[in-house]
Order: sequence, then structure tokens, then C-alpha cells
Amino acid sequence: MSIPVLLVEDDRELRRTLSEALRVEGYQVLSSASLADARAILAANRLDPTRCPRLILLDLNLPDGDGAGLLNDLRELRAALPVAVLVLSARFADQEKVAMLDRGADDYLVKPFSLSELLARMRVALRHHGARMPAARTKYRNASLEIDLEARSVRRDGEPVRLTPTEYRLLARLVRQAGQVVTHRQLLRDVWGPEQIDQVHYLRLYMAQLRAKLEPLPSEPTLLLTEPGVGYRLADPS
Amino acid sequence: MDSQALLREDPVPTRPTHARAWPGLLVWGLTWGLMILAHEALGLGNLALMLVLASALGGLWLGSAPSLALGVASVGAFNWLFVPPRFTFHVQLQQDLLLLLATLSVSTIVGLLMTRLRRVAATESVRARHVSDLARLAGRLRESESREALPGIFLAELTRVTGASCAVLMDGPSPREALPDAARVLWAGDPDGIERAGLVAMRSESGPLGPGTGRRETLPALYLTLRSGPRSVGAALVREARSMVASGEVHHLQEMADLFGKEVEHFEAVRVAQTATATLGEQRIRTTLLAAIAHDFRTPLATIAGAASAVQDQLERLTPEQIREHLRAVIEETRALNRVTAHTLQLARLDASASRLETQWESLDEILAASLSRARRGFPGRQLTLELAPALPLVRCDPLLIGLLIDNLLDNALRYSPNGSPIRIDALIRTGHIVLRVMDEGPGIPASQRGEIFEPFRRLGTVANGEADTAPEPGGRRGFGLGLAVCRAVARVHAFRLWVEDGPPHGSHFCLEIPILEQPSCPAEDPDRESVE
Repeated sequence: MSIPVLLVEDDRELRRTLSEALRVEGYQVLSSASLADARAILAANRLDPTRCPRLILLDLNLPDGDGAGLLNDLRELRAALPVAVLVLSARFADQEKVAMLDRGADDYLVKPFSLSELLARMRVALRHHGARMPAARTKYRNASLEIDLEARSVRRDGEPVRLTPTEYRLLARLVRQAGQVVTHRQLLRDVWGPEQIDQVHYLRLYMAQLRAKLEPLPSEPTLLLTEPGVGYRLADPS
Repeated sequence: MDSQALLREDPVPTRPTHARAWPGLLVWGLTWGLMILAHEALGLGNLALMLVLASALGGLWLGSAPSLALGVASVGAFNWLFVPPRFTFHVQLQQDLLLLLATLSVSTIVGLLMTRLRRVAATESVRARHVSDLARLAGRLRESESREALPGIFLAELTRVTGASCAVLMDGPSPREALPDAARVLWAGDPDGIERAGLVAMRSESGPLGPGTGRRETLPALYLTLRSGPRSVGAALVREARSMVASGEVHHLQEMADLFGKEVEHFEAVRVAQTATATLGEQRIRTTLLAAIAHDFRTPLATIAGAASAVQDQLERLTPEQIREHLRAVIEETRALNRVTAHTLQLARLDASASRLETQWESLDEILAASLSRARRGFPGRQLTLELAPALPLVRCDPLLIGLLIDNLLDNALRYSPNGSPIRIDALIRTGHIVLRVMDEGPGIPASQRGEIFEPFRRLGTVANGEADTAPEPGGRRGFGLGLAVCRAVARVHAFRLWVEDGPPHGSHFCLEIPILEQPSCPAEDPDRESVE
């Protein structure tokens, strides 16, 4: 059974190209050109499990507003059903994009993006929302790195690595959303607490420490990736 | 009251030109003393001449009435005392009568002439003072750098000329001529509430009000209008004007006010002309830039159009390899177009909002790692090495802009150096700065062009020794007209220094100097407490 995906994009050509490409990949695509349309589609399909969208591709530059309103509306739906949201943005340095991530969007893509990038991010997002309840990832394995959160074990090339409590908490937070970007704000809030959400320099220092301990070549990381201006991402193991 | 009409009258001196009359009286006294003492030795003729002399000299100090009175009285006394028969008014000899009459006439005329001469001299001196006041005011106003300074200058001059405290109101520029430094209403001299209301009301008046003007004589201050033609520029007032202003000075003050009005208009006109010239200059630069950018956009578009339409039109006749090749071209040119777009947007953005830079504490390691991985994806097979000093301090910057800067430097290095040559990146600490270097072993940049290459659309031209031309460029020369210009704009907006040096034995070292700031503190953590395996 193919996975239903809701595409919210106002540019006609882009909408057609993406819909076609996604259908070829086996997705069931519902497309809309505005927030109003998107809401209508969601309302019509939310009760049918075979047609309710499991992933929403949301362009930020819509004629009837930014996607923040839609994200708010989705909160109720997403409490009951797993729905992933990928934000499509035309600008790199977009505060709006970071705000959307903080509000619950799963990941983002900057136009122009290639199909392979899009498909990869979609796969990761769907995996994170695979079960009824958002599953917390507890195991991560990629190249030389092996992490088991339940056993509180971190191994590099089979050898255990000593991490400070803060380093461990930071790594664990990234593991929970492996493959997806976690914003600075989310990391600071979840690791250091809500009063520290502005202390970006904590992240710089601790990520450097993690890279030094876990990366084969810390100066050219392949596991602990930086998304400039947005946050950090633990590389997708697949 | 038309101030122009009033100007044609002679201004009356405000102060008595000299308060002293006693030298005049002294002269008369001395003369009479001398006449009485020496009348035996001097003849009548000499005595008469002495009278005339006294009248002339006395006229230097005495007013016309006293001078005249003294003259007539002296002739009478002369008659009584000296003209035979003495001690009578009777004149015996006819020639003595002639002498008397002549003496009387001449001394009267001389006295009157002296008075008139003094008055004319005083008038001229006042006029000269007025002219010098106006010239000085005009000079100071012309020298002013800003419109906001003009009321202060006028206030200073007004205070100096009147010796009283004053206040000035100047309007903002007229909406027709919107100037870059448009100001609202300006006040000078601390007028109180009532005075402010008065000044505001004066703007609709056409002439001065207050003491000495003939209108609203009972006002406590003298109000002047500041006009440039039909348009009001503001108003001014002189406090305690009643005590020292005579009608002549009021006209002069209004003259100064009129001059101010004209100078304001002149100032605004000059500014408008300067702005227009600057705008014209900017537009010329913009036109040139637009032409060059249009070329850099259109060229990849042309390739995309060609390749895509070829696939569409010739689909049945093309092998999969050929189709794949066309599509490769489309993707490649799309990347080039994306790059030109990003550069153009960045340049425009950096141009527009130079001060609104969003900085965070950033790790150069992270920014460089990201740029390096992008460069490796774009140029697989090229040798790129990174040497960073350990524990580099955090820097405050916009990570996307600095990332773009490094991307461009790497792109430049990769395209302008031969395929097998290595590219090195290092970051060292040198006296309070981090110096980041992107180093290639290409042909290098001649010293004469090191400043120019950061200009938009300057490419290395053919150099006399042909070095620049022979550099093989795997990616082609296109799309980099803007790259270094963006680097410079990014460096400039961060106030980081960016320059290029020669690399021995050949090649370019592009250097970025970043100041090291006081590092933010981090909460201490005991590494051994409850650590994790």
C-alpha cells in the first residue's frame, strides 16, 4: 500500500514535477496550492487511515500565509496519528524555517533540491513517525559508531568511549532524531534547560568535544553534521 | 510693513554717537580764556578767527543746537567785549560790522557742517556694521555642513548683534524636496511655551511684529519672520527688545532674517543637486552591474534551454547516453545558475542592510568542515587538506555568510589552479587574530591586480607574460565574476580583513583575518562525576 503524502506548493510547475517524481517512487500524492486547500484535504481524509497523509511537504511561501498556522492546526492530528512535516524553503538564512522546526516540523529542504535529497529526508522522517506513537530511537549504528541508549553504551570501533554526562545527554538527543536536524533551541532546551536556549556557544564547545571523541577525522565530520544557522544532525545510518 | 521699502530710509543710529559734550565746552572755554587774556596782543581779526576755530572744533563734540547757540552768544559777547566801542553792542566801524557778520556766518555754517558730518559718519558706520553683520551671517551659513546647524548659527549671530537673548524656530524641509537628512521642526534658544506659540504663529506673518515695527508694539519680544520668497522657513524672536531696539535696527534684524531664509533655500537646493548627482552615479553603476549579471544568468539558461529542448524534440533519435549527457548539462548549469543567483542576492542584501548583521558564536571548525565537504562533492579527485590550530577560539559571525565566503575562495582556488595541484586551508592564531588562509598553487595574481580582482566582474585579463591565460580551468571561466566581490562584501560587513598574497613558488594565498573576542564562559562540569562508558 502506498504512503499518502500531502504536497503544499503554490508553484504549478514544481508541484507537477514533484508529484510525478514521487508517484514514480511509489508514493500516493495529494497536492494543494494553498493552505486553505491543504486544510480541506486534511479535513476530508483524516479519518481514513489509508488516505490520511503520513507526510506533508510544506512550502513556506504560500499565497495565503506561512505554514505556521498549518503546523498549529496539525498539532491535534499529530497527537493521534504520526504525520511528518518537511518544510520547503527558498532561502537559506530563514528565521522562519528555524521557527517552524522549533514548532514541530521534522526537517527542511532548501530550494533548489535534488530528488535524491528529498527522498532521503522523506525516508528518515517517515521512519521517525513509523509507529502510532512517535518512536524514540534508542539504537544507532553508523560506520565506526555504535550507540545503545538503553544500555547507556557508546562504542567507537568496538572500544567504549568515556563521555561526560552533558556530552552523553547531547548525543542522546541527537540519536533520538537520527537523520533529522535538531535546532539549537531544541538542543539547548532539552540538554541544558529552557533558561539556556540562547547559549549557542555551549553547543559549539560540546559538539567539538563530541567530534573529537567520536569522529574518525574530527576536522571533517561524517557523523556529527552541522547545519549552519539551524542546528545539528546525526548522519542517517541508512 | 514692507521691509524692502524701509531699507531705503537712512537708518537712525541707535546709540548716541558720543555721550561726551564736555570737550566741546572745554574748547569754547579755552578759546574765551585765551581771547580775554591776549586780546591786547591779538588784533580783532585774529580774535574773530579764534572764534571761528572754536566753533569748528566745538562742533566735533556738541550738537547742532548747542553749537549754534554758543556761536551766536560768542559773537554777541565778542561784540560787547572786544569790538570798539567796548562794552557796548554798538559797532563803530563798518568793517568791524562786516567782521562780526562774517564771523557769525562762518561759525554758524561751520558748526552746522560739523554736526552734519558727524551724523553722516555715524550713519555710514552703522551701515558698514549692518553690511558686515549680513556678510558674516551669510559666510557662516554657507560654511555649514548640515541643515540642522543653520538655526544655531542664526541664533548665535542674532544674539551677537542684538546683545539680547533670542530664540529661533526652523521648519523641516518642504516635502517637495525630500532630503536624506530631513529633520522636523528645530528650536534654538529655549523658547518657553508662549514664545513657541508665538513663533509658530509668526510663520503665517509677512513682516516683523513687536516693538519698533509699528505693529503689536506691546509684545514683550520682537518677532521676525524667516521667509524664502513666499515660503515660510520659520521664525525668530528677540527678547527684551523694547529697551534697546530703535526702528532702524529692527529693519536690520529683519534683513538678517530674510538673508537666513534665502540661505536655507540655497542650502536645500545644493543638497538636492548633490543627491541627484549621487543617484545618477549609482544608477550608472547599477546599469553596468545589471548588464553583467544578466549575461551570467542568461548563459546557463541558454544551455538548459538547448539541452532540454533537444531531449524533447529528438527523444526517439537519441541514445540513452546522449540523453543522459544532455541532462547532466542541465543539472550542471542549474547549479551554476543557483550560484549566480545566490551571489547576486547576497550582494544585494549586503549592500542594502550593512549594519543588520546577525551574528552568533560560531566554530570555524564547523564552518570550514561544511565548506570543505561541499568543495569535495563539486570537485572529486582534487586534493584538499585542512590544517587548523588546535582549540581555535569561537568567533562571532554569520555562519552562512562566512560559509559562502569560504565556498567562493575554495571554488576560486579549484578553478584557477591545475588539476593535480593541491589546495591547502589553514587557520593560525597571530596576535589577537585568527588568520584563515586558502592557498592554491596556480599561476597566482599579479601584484597590480590584487585590489581589482575583488571588484564585481573583474576577471584576470591576459597578462603580459601570459601566465594567467595558460591556467587550465576544469570548470571554465564562467560564473565567477561575482564570487570574489561577494567575499569582499561579506568580509566588509563583518569588518574582517580580506586580502591576497603571493604563495611561493607560485600561486595565491587568500587570507581572512578575524579578530579574537573575549570568549563566553561555559558552566564547569566535573568530568569524572557519573561519566558514561
